[in-house]
Amino acid sequence: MNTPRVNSELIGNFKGKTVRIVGRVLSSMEDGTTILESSDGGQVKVKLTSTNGFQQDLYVEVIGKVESDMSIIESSTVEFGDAMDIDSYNKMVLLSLQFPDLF
Amino acid sequence: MGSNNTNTNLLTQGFVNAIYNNEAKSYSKPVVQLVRIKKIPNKPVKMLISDGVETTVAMMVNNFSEMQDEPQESAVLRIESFVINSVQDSNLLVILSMTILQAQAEKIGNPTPHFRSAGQDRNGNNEAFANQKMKNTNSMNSGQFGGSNMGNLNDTNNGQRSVGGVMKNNGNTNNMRPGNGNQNQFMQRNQSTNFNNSNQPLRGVSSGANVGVPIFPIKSLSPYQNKWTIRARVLQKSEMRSWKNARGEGKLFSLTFKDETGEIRATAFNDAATQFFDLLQENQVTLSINDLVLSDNSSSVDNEYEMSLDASTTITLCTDGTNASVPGVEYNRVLLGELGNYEKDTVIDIIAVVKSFGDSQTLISKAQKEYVRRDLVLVDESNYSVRFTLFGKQAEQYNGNEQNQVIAVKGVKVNDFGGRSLTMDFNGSIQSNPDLTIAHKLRGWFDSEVNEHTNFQTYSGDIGSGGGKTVESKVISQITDENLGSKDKPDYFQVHGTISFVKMENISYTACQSDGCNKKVTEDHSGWRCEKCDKSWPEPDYRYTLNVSVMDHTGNCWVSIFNELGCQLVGKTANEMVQLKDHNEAEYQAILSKLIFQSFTMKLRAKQENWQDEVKVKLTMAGVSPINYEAENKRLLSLISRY
Repeated sequence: MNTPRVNSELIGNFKGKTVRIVGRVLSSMEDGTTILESSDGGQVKVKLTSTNGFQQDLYVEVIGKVESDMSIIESSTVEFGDAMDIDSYNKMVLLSLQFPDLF
Repeated sequence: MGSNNTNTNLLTQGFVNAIYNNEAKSYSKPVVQLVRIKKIPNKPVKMLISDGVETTVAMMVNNFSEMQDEPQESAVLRIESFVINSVQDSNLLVILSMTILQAQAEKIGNPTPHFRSAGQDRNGNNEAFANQKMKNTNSMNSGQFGGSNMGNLNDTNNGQRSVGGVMKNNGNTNNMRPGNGNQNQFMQRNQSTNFNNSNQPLRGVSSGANVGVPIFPIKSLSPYQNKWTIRARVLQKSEMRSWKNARGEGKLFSLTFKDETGEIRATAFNDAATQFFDLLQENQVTLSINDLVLSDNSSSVDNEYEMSLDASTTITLCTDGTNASVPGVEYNRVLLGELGNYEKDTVIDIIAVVKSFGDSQTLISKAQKEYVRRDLVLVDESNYSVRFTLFGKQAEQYNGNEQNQVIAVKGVKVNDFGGRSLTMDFNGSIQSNPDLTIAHKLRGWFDSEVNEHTNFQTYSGDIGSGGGKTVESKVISQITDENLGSKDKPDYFQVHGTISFVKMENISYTACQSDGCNKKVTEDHSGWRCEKCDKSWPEPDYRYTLNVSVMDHTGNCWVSIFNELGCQLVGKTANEMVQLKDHNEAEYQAILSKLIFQSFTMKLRAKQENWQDEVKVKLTMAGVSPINYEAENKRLLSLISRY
């Protein structure tokens, strides 16, 4: 059972499930609440548990569970650096849902 | 139909029955209870719904993706918009959007299943079937709905959409949905008796009267509906094309429709083509009423489906104020200076100023066919200038009277001829001096900052390819599949591959030291002798003849690498490596091994040769560069979208 890749628009389809989302850090507070701008331009709230916070403008991939309020409880994160072709990534997310058996 | 339970007030009783009597359209926002839900992956959701009296099956398109929450069984739902499909000889309720009024509720009423006459067991006793199905009538006999005395209601209200439409009343005031201000409108009789409802499509083109049918978003179109209306703009229209084959002949043209929610490709055949060709112009907003024929999409337009316009389609031009709400062409603009990030064959959009243009020339192609071409030079605020070539009608119709116009082009194909150059993609369209903010900005920039002394950068012949030759990206299996190298001239192409093996022996040959002479020298009593120069040298110059195996996801192949690229890849000269082998073979091998599993974009030269009676393809590396993942991603995505 794979962890699907999502963006802010698709997250609503995976409530209660574990997903993978890539985004640019817009803000990161001390209490672990982080807002990401996901690959489709929308915003997603993430509650961090494995780390304290991120630098602004960093691209990260968060794996976590989707709450009913569409926020994510993070279980692990990978940092992608500060430059990324997020548009192409978003297209890939859409393709990955269109062709789930390839991913 | 009496209210045995105050909760039945919530549900729109009689709605289920109405579905099967072709009266459902007179219901606006019916409220139902969700009895059961069945989700099948990749298929629309199937639900069993109840109106308090009967239950029936309904389908939901979109799989709730538009909604905040998914409804759970027993929820009370308000259906915001729906269609009724004719399926075999029964009807099917297709829900397009809904709102959850109550997430969970007790079972309301005591509904019994509504039996459909097609494909289901009939228990006989069903008042709905006491009256046979009425198709295509305006439901003037409404007596079967358990006492409706509101007489001859018409399906839809002239000029209104389903949002505020007529609500049918069963004579029981308990059925009025709370809060609906339209309750008093149920008496709206048909003011225009020749009113057209969607059961009887009006043939041909009408003059702009807005029939009061719901407008569907293009995003929601699917083969699960067959009567619907879209309000869309014609983004792009092709020329009329005709064909003749063994089965006959005909003509067609195709276009792309766009509304706020998406785009869809449409093709009109034969009579419909004749009928609609003049009516549909690029950029106008039309209101289409259709008997839908949807098929899988094979164009590059972003929609799962594409549609056919046929004799039962009606199209009217929007003349009411709704024009403005349909968005025009949207451009994902790329600056000319960024073209280096896009590989050959990627399709993009450009907005730029025409700095100069040539005449329209008529030439003969290699296939002896005449064609028309015109070259434009485009510039934009990235201070690059790039050639853009038009062909065919676009070349001819280019407005030669205007200097330095701003053009917006959707669907531009990137070429690497001359470094980077542009042509139109098959589906593309050009707007001249469009009313876009960015176009105005370009106009301002050009008029104020650009003059005859302005220097623009250009893409010279070489971006990872040699001397302006067009180099296509290929996969390794194509080398054998396409018989590369079999023609008189060698084939040049590029692969994105990984080195999987390096031959450690014979990595170089002994070469003549004379400047410019790389001929092999052989050792004899006088030293290393070059036949060509007639000279002998005490030491030879070692030059690489590296042989590596290159791999990609489709296969592998052997590639020879000569001195220049060899030095670049290994990081040492061949002379150094030969010496190293004598002193420290382990390190020699380690250095060569570093190449393994490195990936590059390699330009290859393929030529078939005769080797001891066998014809083999010899591959030589002609260029190497690190993989530009961004550009390659974009190229692949654009290939995928056109698949």
